[in-house]
Amino acid sequence: MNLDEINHHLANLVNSGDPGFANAAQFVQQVIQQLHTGQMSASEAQEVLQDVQRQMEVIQDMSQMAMKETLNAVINGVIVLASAV
Amino acid sequence: MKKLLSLMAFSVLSGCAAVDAYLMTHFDPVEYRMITEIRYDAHNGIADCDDAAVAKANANSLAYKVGLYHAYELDIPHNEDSIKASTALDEIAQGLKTRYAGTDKVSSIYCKLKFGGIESSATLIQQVQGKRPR
Repeated sequence: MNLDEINHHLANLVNSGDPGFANAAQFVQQVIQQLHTGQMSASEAQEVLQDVQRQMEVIQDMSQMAMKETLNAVINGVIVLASAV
Repeated sequence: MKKLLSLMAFSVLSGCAAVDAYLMTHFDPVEYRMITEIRYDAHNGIADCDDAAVAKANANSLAYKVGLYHAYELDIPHNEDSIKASTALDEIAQGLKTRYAGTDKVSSIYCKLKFGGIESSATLIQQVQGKRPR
């Protein structure tokens, strides 16, 4: 993938309407800008971008856990209802 | 009615996700305290990024706390989501420590993005772990 294609995909993500993807894409755009202006080394930029993937993993894991918490509350609610009838 | 509700509970519990949810780890004040401290330190660390010596000390301290939190999570049963999240958080924090241990100059913007990334992930983990069943 070349830089034009990367910028095209980033622009699509920024305008996707999904705040999570838009924020992540804007973050990547900022990192590219900081790399171009010399505010950050290539190695630092690489690590920070890998962190975005790690943060997405955290979001996915915590989303799963939040769903389990909701399901747990529902199951306990049904058990309480069943024992009360 | 009681039979019907019991049947509903049984049918819900027969799914793997439902079993995972039913057995999930309950709220742990030690775990919650640790992730709160990580979030708070990461937030405060951003302000010190222009002072390399202070930023390095903060990075080492935060990496230690995240490593300890990760180790704490590892052997808790029915805790897979938190183990995976703490693994990712630990990778982010250890990267920060490793860079400050090197000889290359560490940029202020890198420091701010790393501490900010740890803060945002820790905030999310804190919010979800805080809602664990009591």
